[in-house]
Amino acid sequence: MKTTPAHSQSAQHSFTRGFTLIEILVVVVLVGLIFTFATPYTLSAIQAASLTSAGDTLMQKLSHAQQMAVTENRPIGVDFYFYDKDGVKGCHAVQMITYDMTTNQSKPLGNPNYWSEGRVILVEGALTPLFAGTFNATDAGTVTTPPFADKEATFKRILFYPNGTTSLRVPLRNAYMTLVSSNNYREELEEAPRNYYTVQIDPVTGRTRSYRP
Amino acid sequence: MKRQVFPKPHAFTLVEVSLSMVILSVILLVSVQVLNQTQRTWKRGVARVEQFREARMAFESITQDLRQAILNTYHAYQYNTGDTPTVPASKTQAPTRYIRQSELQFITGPATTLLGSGQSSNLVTHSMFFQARLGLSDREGYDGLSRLLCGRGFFILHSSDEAFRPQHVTDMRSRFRLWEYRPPAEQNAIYISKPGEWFQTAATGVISDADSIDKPSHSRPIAENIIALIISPEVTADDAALKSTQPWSIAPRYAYDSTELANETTDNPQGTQHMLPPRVLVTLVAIDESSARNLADRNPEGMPQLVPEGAFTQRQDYAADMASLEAALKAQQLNYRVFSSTITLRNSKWGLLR
Repeated sequence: MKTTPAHSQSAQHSFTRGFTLIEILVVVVLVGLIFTFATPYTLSAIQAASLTSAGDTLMQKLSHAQQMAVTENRPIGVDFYFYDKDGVKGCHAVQMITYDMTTNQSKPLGNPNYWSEGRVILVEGALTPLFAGTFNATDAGTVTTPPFADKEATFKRILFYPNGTTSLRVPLRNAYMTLVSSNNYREELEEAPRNYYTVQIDPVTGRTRSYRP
Repeated sequence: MKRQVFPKPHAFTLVEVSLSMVILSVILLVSVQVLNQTQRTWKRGVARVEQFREARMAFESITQDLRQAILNTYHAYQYNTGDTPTVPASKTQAPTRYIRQSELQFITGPATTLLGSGQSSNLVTHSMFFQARLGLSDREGYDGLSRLLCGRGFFILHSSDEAFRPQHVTDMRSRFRLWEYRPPAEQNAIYISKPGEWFQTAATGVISDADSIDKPSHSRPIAENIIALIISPEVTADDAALKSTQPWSIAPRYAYDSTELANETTDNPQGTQHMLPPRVLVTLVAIDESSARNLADRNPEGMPQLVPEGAFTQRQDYAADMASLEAALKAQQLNYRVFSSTITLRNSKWGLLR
């Protein structure tokens, strides 16, 4: 009968003893720490990825429009739509269009592209002097066609001509636009943020080139 | 009996939990590293595809323009052997014979020879200039004239992007670029200058700070990191076999100038003068941006020497020169791609020579 108390004692100890509050707290704190260190990296990686994909889409759109104008022997345009979205006023979408020079009529070509569900914005101002240049009366104005007419959107248009040139009226060194992540966005952004995607269009040859930091 | 005391089912102790956390962290760290590496490789792959996409597009535009090269050769009375052989000295002068004549020019050869002074130390390999109906015009109301005669040319120049880089982009890119010389039709100087002079401003007139929308530079960069452009005028294999020579025998040193008297024989006193070559072998060598960045870092001052000295001067050494260039690129661990194609010139009337 010597064994019984010992046995019961051990049973008591082994089955009732779990983690103490301190231990659990330490674990929770450690997990929390790991998360705090990991989150910014993951977030910025996601943002960088959406910036890259938005920029690549824009590059593809522009060079597709340029090539199409040359091969199909008719002017092809890319429209940039500026409107208010979640309180941010700026360019949120692009659309390829066909343009009839004789009637000044344009027709959409395919569906518009939206910048990665609001995670990316095309900034205006010093980082995008391309849109500060002068545009023909027919190449800028208020949108009258859905879906952007409901958003009171305005548009600016870049036309690519069959002989390879464009409608841009700025020298090459100013013919660029810049996309930034929405968390880097401020109005009147003067200096480039740490991450950006700048697209330059040669107004004479219609060729696009990208600049990343 | 004491044994029954010790084998207790333990709960985890702090030490054990911490240990497992440490192991977990190590695993996480390793996987992050692997992910990072994968991402970097992916990025490099994408950069390569992107880079060579630009080179491929440039190559396509060279070949597309070259196909349309034109000379508009005609036959005319010859009155003298000077610069203007078809112009008589007086109303009564009798012509001596018929000759082939053209006011236009098709010229290929080493860029330093063709473009001479100014930028010569930054020019590499070959260049080519010709006339084609490309319909380029800046003049109001000329938009519909899509067949206007324009000059066109291609050459490689090593320079910085100081004059056209966006202001907020801080790092300067000194790179080999393929430049396209594309004056509009109204500025085509072919009729007002001597042969070989109408494109002389191509290399010196590259984009500078003076580039403006009303007076844009006529030379535009169309692709970055193109390190070699090799142009070789040729005849068809059948033609060469007929005369038991090599297809490139019309331009053994790569140089071909349609205004020059060349390749003349007794039964063909004008040789290949005022003739477009029937075919042109175009070769373009491109490197990717990460290679170009490494190269620029290794050569902070001036232009890196990639094409071996004296290469691509003799057409018979073409294969050997290509091999040694590729070996040099491999030795410097540069990723490269070679684009090469033989273009048939639509407007060449080579049959006249048979």
